[in-house]
Amino acid sequence: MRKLRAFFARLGGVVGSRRRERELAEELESHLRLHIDDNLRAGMSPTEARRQALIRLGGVEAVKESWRDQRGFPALERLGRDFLHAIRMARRNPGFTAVAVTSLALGIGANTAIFSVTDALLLKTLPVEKPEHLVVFAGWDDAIHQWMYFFEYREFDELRRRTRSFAGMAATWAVDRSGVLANGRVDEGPAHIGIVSANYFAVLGVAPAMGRSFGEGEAAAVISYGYWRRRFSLAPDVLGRTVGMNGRVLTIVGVAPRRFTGDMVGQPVDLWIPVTMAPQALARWPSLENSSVRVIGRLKPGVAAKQAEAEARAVYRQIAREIGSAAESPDGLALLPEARGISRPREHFERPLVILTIVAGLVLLIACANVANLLLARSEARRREIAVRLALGAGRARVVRQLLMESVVLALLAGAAGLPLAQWGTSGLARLARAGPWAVDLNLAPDARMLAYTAGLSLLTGLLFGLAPALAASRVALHAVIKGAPDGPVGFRLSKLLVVAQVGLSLVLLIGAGLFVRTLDNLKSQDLGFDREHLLLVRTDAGLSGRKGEALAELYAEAVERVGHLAGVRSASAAGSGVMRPAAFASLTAPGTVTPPAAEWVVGADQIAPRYLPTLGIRLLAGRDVTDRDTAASPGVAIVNEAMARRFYGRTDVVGRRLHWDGDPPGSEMEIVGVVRDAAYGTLRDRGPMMYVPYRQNLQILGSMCLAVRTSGEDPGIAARIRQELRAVAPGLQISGMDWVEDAMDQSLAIERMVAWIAGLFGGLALLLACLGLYGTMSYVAARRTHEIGIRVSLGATPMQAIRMVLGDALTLGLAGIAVGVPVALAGSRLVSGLLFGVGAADAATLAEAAVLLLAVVGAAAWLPAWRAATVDAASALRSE
Amino acid sequence: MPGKADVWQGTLALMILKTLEVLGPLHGYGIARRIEQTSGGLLSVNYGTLYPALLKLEQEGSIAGVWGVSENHRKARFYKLTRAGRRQVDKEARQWEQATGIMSRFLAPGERP
Repeated sequence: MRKLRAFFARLGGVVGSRRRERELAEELESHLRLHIDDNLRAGMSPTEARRQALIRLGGVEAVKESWRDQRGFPALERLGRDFLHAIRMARRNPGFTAVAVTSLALGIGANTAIFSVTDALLLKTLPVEKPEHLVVFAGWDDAIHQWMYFFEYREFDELRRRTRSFAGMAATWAVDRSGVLANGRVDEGPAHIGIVSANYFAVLGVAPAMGRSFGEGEAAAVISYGYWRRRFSLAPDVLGRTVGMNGRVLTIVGVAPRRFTGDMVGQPVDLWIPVTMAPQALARWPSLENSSVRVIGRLKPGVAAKQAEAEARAVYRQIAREIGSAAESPDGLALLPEARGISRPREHFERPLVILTIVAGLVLLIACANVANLLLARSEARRREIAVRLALGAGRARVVRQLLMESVVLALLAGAAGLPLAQWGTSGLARLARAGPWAVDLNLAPDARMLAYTAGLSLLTGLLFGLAPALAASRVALHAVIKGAPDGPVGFRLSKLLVVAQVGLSLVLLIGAGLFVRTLDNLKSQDLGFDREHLLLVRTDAGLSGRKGEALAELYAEAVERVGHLAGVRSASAAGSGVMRPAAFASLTAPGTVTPPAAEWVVGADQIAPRYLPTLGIRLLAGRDVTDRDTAASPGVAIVNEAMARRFYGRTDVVGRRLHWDGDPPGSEMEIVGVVRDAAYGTLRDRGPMMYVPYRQNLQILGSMCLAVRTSGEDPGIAARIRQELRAVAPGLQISGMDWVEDAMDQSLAIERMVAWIAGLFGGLALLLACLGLYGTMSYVAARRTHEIGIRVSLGATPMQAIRMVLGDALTLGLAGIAVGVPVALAGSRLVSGLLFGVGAADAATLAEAAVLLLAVVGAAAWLPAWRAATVDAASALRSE
Repeated sequence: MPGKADVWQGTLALMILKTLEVLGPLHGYGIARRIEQTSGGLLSVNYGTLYPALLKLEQEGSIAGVWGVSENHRKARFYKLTRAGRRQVDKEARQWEQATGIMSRFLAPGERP
């Protein structure tokens, strides 16, 4: 208690009051007088009395100094003084400060921007209670090498009832549905609807910001904060109002807290409804029993995840036996950590973000090297100041601490300047991410984590670039400096090393940028295997018309027919998923052949209408196309691509071979009637095995369809005409999207574009910084050789020879940098190879280009200092020392 | 100052407090004098230690300083014990007596318990 009180008193003392200081002086003064009085009373002469008292008191300043040490925290105060001094230094050299702060701010801002996105998508835990206790149930799908998160509702129900390891278990799923009626208006775009068990919020430990959660079977909804703002303008009386879906009316009973947007990171939920209401409130939703759900469990305190997993597995095996559910491999069941939520975009963004983090880190390192070089050059100018300080008795540690404080102040200024840059970069990244096929929607508002990251990074940066120059600067030979002799080799060698490092790192970044730009280019300009020009994709869904099976197929056939006859349309057809969408998977067996492992018999599959292949321009190599005569009544047929033929048969003349689709009844077979060229079907990188089947032969899986329309040219009116025509065919036919293939391609390249842009931008930045650093160092080199050059010129060397001398020095540094950079780039190539397309990670051309560009820049940066040194007047050069 | 010991580390605070308890409010010079006198001239108070010690006790809330006038009409800063200071004197004095008791028992020649 006393200690604490003293602590706060001292903390107050740090700011120190002048008054208290004056009081001490007065107190000592009175002390002296009292002592003199005593001495006088003892019979001394006034002079002697004063003299003795002064001797006894000792050094007044020493007393004051030890008093001050007790008053505050001296170390802290010294730090504060260093800090103020550093700020004065920064203000006294505005030019230097501006250059240093700007280059560091770019580096720190870039890092912070990328950290914000990385943190939001990869690192942050869900804003729920004790997220580390949450697990998600998953099954390993051997066929597609992925964790699958869906279970049937009845499986969930049984799991929940029979397991003992969980404090709670909730079901959740999410779908997009357009046409939600809210606040008197029908949603134009889709709303992201969370379908959850009634205990969902309780299991996650999320209390509604307003109202309550719903009960099982209640016709109610909880809306997200975002939806509340977007659709209800934050109306305070939103509770009790309703939303309409599929003709059902649900009462809003709660609003989720602002931070909580569901358990899928990057795909925020707009409103949650009870899973028990889903069959009524959602069109095309199966019965409750067959609903797909994701299962989230909260472990009981003290129960380990492994233990819970063992129990869940045993129970699940039992359930699978009893109800004969779709559980194919109960042993593959696993409990995965759910603390960070699950996220499909995460899988796609993880690697690119790691790479961008490294790239941004390299840029910052280059900026650090740059500023370290500037500091070195400046410490040249300050050598006398430092020497004088050392001579006056300042310890070397004291000088280093002061110099380090100066760099830390620079870095903190840069951190502050980097924040707006980061904000700008973050919103740019967010836009790039939102434009992509996953429409990632992240909450990227700056938060404490981001600020802490920036502050920590700035501090680290300051120490990093400040330490070496500070050590070098404090190691001065006193006598030499005071005599005015030129400096020793320490700082000079360090400066050259820094330039080599800068050039090396820049090379790494340039190579990276080159690879990513090439990748983007290759993806765009590749032969897709189909014709991309004037191809319009119309995503439709006739589910709302209520038709099924044959009637639904008939509706689509009519739609294709009518659109095909519109003016400006050259050809039209339809397919289940169409290009530029992930295709469905089909697992196959081939009767009468040696069956390879099941996993390899999984292929992409699409159900197509007649003339679909020619409409897209996917060339038929052998056999025939699907025709109107391929119906449910006729024998099953399939068309395969070359990749599939090669993979399964090792040859392409496979017309006539037979396949069995695992989804079909046993015994039924399809005959391969055609072989087509490979096409970039689902994604632009895709060239995998692919099978096309007639849609009329697969009515049980017929749902939404994509109309492919080939127009005769750019025709902005065509979209409206198609929309009108389709409305005439079937009012219930919903159009969920219309994209020109080239636009869709562009959209699907969001991540590649993001990486290429940022890598390119940072590569350029690195080049600029390296150029500045090199210019500085070469000016210095040239200045040091002025004397020598003067002698050479006076002995008859031409200016050109002198220039060549300095340029030679620069190119040596450049080549050394390249020698350092190439191995680093090659080592890093493994990290990026998965993201490249049509170019190897160790691509010789890219490497050579980067090296040549770098050498050219090195030469350009060195030219001016070289020219200046060469044209110096020989006489004045000789006098320069 | 030959022949005189500096005040031992850690005992100065107790001496100050005890002095204030016995003599009432007193200025720094008086406190130093009193300590030196009580020790029979064996101790010398270093002012570079005394004033920080006074400040420390003030920060801890054991004593409080106010400006006043000395008996010979000099302006001086007087220190007086606070209530917490009084409690502290009792406590520390007891601890000190215990400690010295133990030490003297060790040092007493040939005595058996």
